[in-house]
Amino acid sequence: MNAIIDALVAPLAYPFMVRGMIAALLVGIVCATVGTYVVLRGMAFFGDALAHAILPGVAVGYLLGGGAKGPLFWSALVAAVFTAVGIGAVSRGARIKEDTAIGIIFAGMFAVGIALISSTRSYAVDLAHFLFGNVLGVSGGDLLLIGGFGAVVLAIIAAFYKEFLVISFDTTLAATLRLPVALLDYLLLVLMAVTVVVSLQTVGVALMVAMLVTPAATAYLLTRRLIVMMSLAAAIGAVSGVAGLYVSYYARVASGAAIVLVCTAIFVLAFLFSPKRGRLWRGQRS
Amino acid sequence: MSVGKCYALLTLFLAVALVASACAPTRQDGAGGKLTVLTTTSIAGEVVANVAGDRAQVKVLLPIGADPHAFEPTPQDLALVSDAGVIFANGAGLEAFLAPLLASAGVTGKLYYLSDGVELRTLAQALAPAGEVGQTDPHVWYDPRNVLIWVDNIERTLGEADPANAQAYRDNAERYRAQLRELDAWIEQQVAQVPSARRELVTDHDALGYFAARFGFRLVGAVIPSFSTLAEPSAQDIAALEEAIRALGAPAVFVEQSVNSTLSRRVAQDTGVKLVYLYGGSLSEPNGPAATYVAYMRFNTSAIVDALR
Amino acid sequence: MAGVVSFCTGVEAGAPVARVSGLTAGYGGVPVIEDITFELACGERVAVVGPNGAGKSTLLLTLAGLLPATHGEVAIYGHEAGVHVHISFVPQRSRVDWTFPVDLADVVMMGRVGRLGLFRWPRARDWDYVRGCLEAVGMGEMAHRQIGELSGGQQQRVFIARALAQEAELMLMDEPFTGLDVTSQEDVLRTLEELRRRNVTLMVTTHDLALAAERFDRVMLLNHRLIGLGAPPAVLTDERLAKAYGGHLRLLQTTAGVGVLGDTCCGAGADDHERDH
Repeated sequence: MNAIIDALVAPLAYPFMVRGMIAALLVGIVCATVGTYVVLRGMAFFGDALAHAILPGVAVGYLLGGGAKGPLFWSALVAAVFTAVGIGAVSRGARIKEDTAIGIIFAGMFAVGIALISSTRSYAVDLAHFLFGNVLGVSGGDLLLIGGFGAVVLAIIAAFYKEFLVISFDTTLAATLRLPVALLDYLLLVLMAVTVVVSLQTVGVALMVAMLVTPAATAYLLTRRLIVMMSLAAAIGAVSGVAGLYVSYYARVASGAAIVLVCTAIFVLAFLFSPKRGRLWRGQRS
Repeated sequence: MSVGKCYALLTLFLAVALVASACAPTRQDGAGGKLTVLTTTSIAGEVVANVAGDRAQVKVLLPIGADPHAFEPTPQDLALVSDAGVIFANGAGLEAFLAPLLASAGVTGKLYYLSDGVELRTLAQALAPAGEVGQTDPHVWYDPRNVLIWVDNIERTLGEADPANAQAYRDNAERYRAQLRELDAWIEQQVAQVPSARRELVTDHDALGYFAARFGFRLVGAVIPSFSTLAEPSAQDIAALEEAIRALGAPAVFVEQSVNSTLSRRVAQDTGVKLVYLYGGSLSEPNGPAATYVAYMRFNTSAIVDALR
Repeated sequence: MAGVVSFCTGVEAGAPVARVSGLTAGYGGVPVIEDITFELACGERVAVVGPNGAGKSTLLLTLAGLLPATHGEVAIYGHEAGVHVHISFVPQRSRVDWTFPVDLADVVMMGRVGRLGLFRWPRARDWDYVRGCLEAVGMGEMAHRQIGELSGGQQQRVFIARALAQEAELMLMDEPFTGLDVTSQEDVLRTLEELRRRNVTLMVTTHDLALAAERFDRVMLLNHRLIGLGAPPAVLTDERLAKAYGGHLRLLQTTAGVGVLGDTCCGAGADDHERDH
């Protein structure tokens, strides 16, 4: 027993581990909550695209701010919101499918980012952190940003919970109820954008989609009600974040990857051992 | 202190470091009361170990063969940083990527840059893209005289941090400085075998600036015209480089062991020149040909001289 | 159940629930329905029949305010359609995501979103009201079943419960009986009686001419244009049917009179092109 307590307490002796765990916990909660909508509305590709499309924002922030974290964050946020709204607008109006619109915009933005970074030729090291996360480098100021924006995202979801539910489940009902469907859609997209930017430092772009999708997908297997699914997803996200850092500490592997591996392992367990939903989900029996 | 003993001690320290970090770590203020010293690169580590001797425990952050420009530390690595009493980094921008992580792990008051006081070069070669001029070259250790300055810095810092052993550090430093001067003389001798017309270096990235400046070589160009292995050359850059190689008749392309050499191989193939492997940001494995700084420099020098003679 | 609203009392006697004049609507510039004019009386039940692609769904969409009219006017309670909150539109069953994690109570509660207002979470009394709506359609004990577990008829009744929760005064249902067996149809029809009790005006599209004739106050015969609207015997005459259905119809001489066999085919016609997002 003592050995287990020691094992749990040992990493906490280091402030950078404690900060990292708090960041992972917060990010796990916010990503999983927003990720519930991502899973139910089939927006995983969109989430991945958003994460990649932030690159030009990061590049511009790097050029303007010379590597300081502040400008990186805000320019990434601008790029993310711009991309989210842009994809929303293109897929609402244009003659191309949403899937295609996302692919085009995401690849284009990412290429702009690579071009910008390659043109500077300086130590393109933040690219590595951008791709794979840098949770051990989280500062107190970063935690405030994550906590602050995370709280705002959760508050908005709580405030518009029933409206988001209606537009996700039945757009016809939403129209009949005269809900501002377009506005609410854009709001949800912007919330996703903010979530992705705020979480980027923890897992990086390459693994961001896992934080959005996997805990929510796990919760989906375990419950039938949205509110429970969301809460369960948040809990799984939080546990994965903290457990992931412990795994990264003792197994000596990259932290972002460890977090995602824990998420995935939990999903696999749920997939194998949850009461089979196949029978219940075969649609209408007419 | 002979090279053999240095090598044995280095192996011992590395082994101790490995064993220590494999166990469940607890905060320690140095095993058995000894000062814990952490260095970033293995090269710096070996040099510091020469001065520290058996009076301090030296650990190295980057594993053998790791590319210093692209290293991702795990929590245990940062724990080393947190626990160390003194940290030596190369400086001059080599560990730019590590700066925020080091800050996060808490290094105020104990991080020292070995290259303080070294006269730094900037990128200013014929093929430098406009706007690149002014970037600092961090590969200072290719000039043994700079490593002499390192030893001064190490001796002073260790003496201040661990006054009880200051005398031992001074003695070790003096002995090592003699070795370095001997190395410097030997390289000059070797390099003299290469006729002036053939003293042209083509490399995979701009690492050999200090070597070239000290020993009279010309830098023709680099496959990746940057100090960082993470940068990407444009098609124009490669074309210009191949042109320069052909025009000047450079006989070889020198590439770093730890870096992806696909591009360099292509350049060598296209121009019909040899591809020669050097040791770059890291020493070799302990039983390899470049396990100490001195051995490293001898190996590289021999490789260069043999290729160009 | 407390708080049951009964409509048509506030409306002047004889004033219509909906007034449609010269309505033309369609998709991409192609009109599906042309020059439709009629009035809906408060509390009446109208069945819209016609062949596939006749524009039945389009008519409902325009009435609900979900599809803009190219020409003409739709007025509900004297307001323009699209402004009034209290219209319920139940689409054909295939359009809803049955794997969504919501139970019946959640689905019915969605109908009350408009009534709850912004930033308000449902309270106990709202859940009671929802349960009451489910009981009114005979599904009170199934409040916590997931929607994918229900049969076709049960799903339709849940949507009716949702319309009750909406306190809708005008209910539009697109092919609610299609694909249901006779028992389920009867269940749904029984539930529609509940709507009659509350004087909810009902407009329903269906392929089932016999059902339309027997169970509804008026029948509207539609094939791009309004071919007839009135009591079933008046509208479902040979010539009108021939005009509407062209060759799609068979008339059977039986001992009880003329039986009409209409096309009860399912699936998407030209008027099923709703914009999906």
